[in-house]
Amino acid sequence: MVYLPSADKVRSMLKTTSLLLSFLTIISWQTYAQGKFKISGIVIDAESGKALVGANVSVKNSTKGVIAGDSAAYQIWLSPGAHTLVFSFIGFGQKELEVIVDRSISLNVSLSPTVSNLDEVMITDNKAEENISKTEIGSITLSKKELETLPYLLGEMDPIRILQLMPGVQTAGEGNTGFYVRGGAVDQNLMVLDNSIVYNPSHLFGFFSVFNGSTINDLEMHKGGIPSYYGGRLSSFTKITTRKGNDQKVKGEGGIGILSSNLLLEGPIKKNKGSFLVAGRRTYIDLFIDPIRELFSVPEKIDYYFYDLNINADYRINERNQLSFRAYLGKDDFYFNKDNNFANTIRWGNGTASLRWSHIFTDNLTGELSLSTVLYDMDFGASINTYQFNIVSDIRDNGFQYLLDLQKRKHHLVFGTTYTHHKLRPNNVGATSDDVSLEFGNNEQLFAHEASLFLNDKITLTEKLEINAGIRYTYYSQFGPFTRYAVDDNLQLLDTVVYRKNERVVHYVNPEPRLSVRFNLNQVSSLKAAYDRGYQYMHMAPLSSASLPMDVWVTSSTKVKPQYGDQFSTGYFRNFNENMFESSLVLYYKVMHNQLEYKDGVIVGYSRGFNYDDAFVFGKGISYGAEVLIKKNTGKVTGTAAYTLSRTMREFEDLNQGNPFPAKYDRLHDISLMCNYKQSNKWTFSGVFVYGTGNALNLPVARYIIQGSIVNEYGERNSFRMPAYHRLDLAATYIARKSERFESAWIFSVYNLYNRRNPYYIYFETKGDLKEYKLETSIRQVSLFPVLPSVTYRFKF
Amino acid sequence: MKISIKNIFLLPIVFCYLQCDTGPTIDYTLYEPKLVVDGWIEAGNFPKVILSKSYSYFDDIDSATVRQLVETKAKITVSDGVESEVLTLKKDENYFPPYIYSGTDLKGEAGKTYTLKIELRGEVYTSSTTIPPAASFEDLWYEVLPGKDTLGFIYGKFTDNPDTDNYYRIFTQRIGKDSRYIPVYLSAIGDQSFNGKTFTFSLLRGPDNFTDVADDLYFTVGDSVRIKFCTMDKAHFDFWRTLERELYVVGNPFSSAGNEIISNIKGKKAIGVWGGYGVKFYTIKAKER
Repeated sequence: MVYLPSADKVRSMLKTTSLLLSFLTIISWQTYAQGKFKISGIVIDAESGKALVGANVSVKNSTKGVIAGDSAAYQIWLSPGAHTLVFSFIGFGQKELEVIVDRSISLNVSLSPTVSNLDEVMITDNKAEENISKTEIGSITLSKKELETLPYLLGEMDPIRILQLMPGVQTAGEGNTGFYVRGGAVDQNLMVLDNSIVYNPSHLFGFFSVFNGSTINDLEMHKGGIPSYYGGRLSSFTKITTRKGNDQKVKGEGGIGILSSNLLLEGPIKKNKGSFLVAGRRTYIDLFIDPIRELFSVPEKIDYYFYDLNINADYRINERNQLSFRAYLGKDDFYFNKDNNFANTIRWGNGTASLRWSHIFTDNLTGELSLSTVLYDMDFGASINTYQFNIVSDIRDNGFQYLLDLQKRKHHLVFGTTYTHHKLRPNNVGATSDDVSLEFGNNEQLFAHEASLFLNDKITLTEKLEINAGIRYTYYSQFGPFTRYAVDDNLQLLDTVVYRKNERVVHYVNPEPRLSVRFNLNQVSSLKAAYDRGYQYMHMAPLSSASLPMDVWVTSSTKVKPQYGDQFSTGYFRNFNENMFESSLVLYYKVMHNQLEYKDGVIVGYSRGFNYDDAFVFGKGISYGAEVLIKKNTGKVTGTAAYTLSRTMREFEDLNQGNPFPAKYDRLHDISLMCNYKQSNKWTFSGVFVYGTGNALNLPVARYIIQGSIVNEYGERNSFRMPAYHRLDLAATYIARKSERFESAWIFSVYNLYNRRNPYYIYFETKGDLKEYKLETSIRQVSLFPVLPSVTYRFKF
Repeated sequence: MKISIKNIFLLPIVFCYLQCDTGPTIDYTLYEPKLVVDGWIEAGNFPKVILSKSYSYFDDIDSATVRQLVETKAKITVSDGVESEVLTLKKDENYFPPYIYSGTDLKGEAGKTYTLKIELRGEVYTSSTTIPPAASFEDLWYEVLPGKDTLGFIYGKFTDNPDTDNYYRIFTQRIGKDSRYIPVYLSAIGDQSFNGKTFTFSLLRGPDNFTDVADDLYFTVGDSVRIKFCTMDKAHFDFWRTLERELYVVGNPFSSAGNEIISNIKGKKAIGVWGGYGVKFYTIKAKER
């Protein structure tokens, strides 16, 4: 069912698209009032000289406003006369400047970091207006300051946790940093750290994400109305940007907690020119687990740690050129030994690095070239007596992106290209029994090219109406060396096709049109609508009800067709009480094709066929729902309340006799509440409550006995539900000291306050003896995290 | 709820130690029982069939309900294409349920195909299976595990026939300890990972009772162990392969759930297997050589 357009078709589609874009250009230029002048410049941090990308520039007593884009450059068109321009940025004091417009003016502005409460209030105020004025219907942007208001769980500030509290974003449940966005699977979320993809963003079996809170500058997520310069996954795009080091003086911050400690150092390489930032985290349970084990006479040996390291360097060559280097390395290592005969190891790690060159061509044209590389490794090993078994998966990506940003009158064009070379080894199994090594299919590598060309135009037609139109063309090809095996029902080989090095196995070309529209009803409310089409060439099917690091990524092939999806979303946005409250109601409908699931009864490693894609079946997914968000921005008490009502179904020819069934993560109700109370300058209290309908799962309906074994028989797929997931976390921050030179705070937090036993997985226990004609079966559940209190000491100098 | 330091430190990292609770209560709608066929024919032996019924998940078994699970009213006919025999029902406490249909005339022979026909309450259920040629061990020995004192495994070496698809199943019986042949741990194995190779099986003693899978896997020094080394056809293998997969993965977070067990019984609402075995028997004394 893959859409493979012919060359003619591609040409005609391109023509249509360019016609559409030029039509939009014409009507927008016609509506554009002549006789205006351009005010342009950059917005910088008065202290560090850093560019304040995302700073808000607005015209007082008007709805007119722009956001400073790449390199913090802004431009705004004003009619002749006197105007007051308001410059603001989160965490910085607002600046008002009166300008007499009689010609185009260049105006560079510096803002100072704030300390007082009042300024923060002003700033969130401005940000709140975005709720109404931004055209992106399903986008979420968060700054470091906003992230810091979340409870520090076990002393860690985790950006993924805050995303999971947003409407339409559902936590994947216990032990999982993955999330589900509008009925999409975990693999449909692209996670980009700076310019590199992170394939497995979890530490500690999902308790923490790999993103170290203290390094983060900002975060943006798109789940609908996705601009065409973002792509690669069906359901969401999340970009986490780490910050630039201080280029004025050496600074540091850190935290000491029960589970882990972290330290960050930053400073100038060359004052005003270049800076560095180095941050590291490590858990240290492994260092004192042995005494605890002895104390409680636990016979089994367990060992676990993770660490991660961020290295950032920035250098401003001159006014127009800047270089940024970002590197991340993280690793998890788990070892379990039951007795001499059973041992288990699980190790996984991500490494990413990127180098970005930003260049300002003219005041309104900027370019950005980035080169990136990704390493992801997973190793699962088990040994039972003489039988040894290990599964290795890894990914190596290398690529680049070139992006141009052009602001011309009412147009904001972003266009460019991306390319990635993928090299993967999915689930390579090695096993030995005694001295004989067993064969588990062919241990092969997969190679693929993925590229895109995109053009996005945000057009401000009138003050009330804005359109964001874009097109993205994606190209994918799998190439050799590769061997395709044809196998009969008896798992015996019929034929093999061998592809040489660099020989193309299969390729796909697909267009992804995107369109969003925003219409302001008045100063405080707007209507928005969006259509998105997306293609996805890299896939990860979750194997079981529990989520594990063993879930592997695979490339598209002749058998695994690219996933694609269409999404329609529309919403009403309204602010109240002078932006003290924001609210929105968004409806969405999404259809996803070529979705992947494992065949019934697959066990990792044990059930591998000849081809890496033999274990999958394919089908369709549908999701629809309503998302409500209410946010209080100002006052002593701030917070958000999000509610999602949704339905997610799947239909696979080879599963459930072809009948539709609820997806594992079909969640009718999903509620997230977050609250922050600033009691005084010393104390801040915060709380998070989440509730979600239990995951759908398979359970037996009946059983029978055969040769002394009790065997389960299953009913309709996913016809049962786990108990609902809910949890309350609380945190309190006490600022012990705050001065120019040193700041310190104590953070007390409790995860899962009322010790809810949320199910991780469910199993069955049968007791009794057949010979005595006595048998009882009960359903049992395993929960991961009980109530977990923690205390962390944080400092900054 | 007990919160100990141990919980706080260990629980976040090892799911094996986590709180195991009584799971959710679940409403089961009325379940319609299916006929469960457990039939086999070994080379050199008479056919045997046990009939029972499946039952709703929450019905517990006790001596009163066992009666309802047994099917004793069936007419079962086994045929090799030339001759056929109607099996007779006998009580036998070695099986569950303790009633078994068996033959007295027709014996299994390697290379032949046997059909099964069950007539019960107006319904007809059928199946067919073949007995492949037997395979034999080239060597069979016992080894005590290092540090295990008197516990160890039995090892069997044999060479797979490279020209055919081969499927094996192994059973053990400790003389004086086990009342029947018990399949070893992961007893059904196909040759796709060792086709044509000389291969060593480690025989891990299977549980007598799947309510206690954690029963140890070892043979103790001094055990006298009978070993039954069987060969099967594909359909017969598929049943045991998928059944064992289900038995071992139930609730296992490392596997996908809701496994279909591939049955070779044809007929309305029937599950189970009718399988032929090529067999070879061995006896070994568990001692270091």
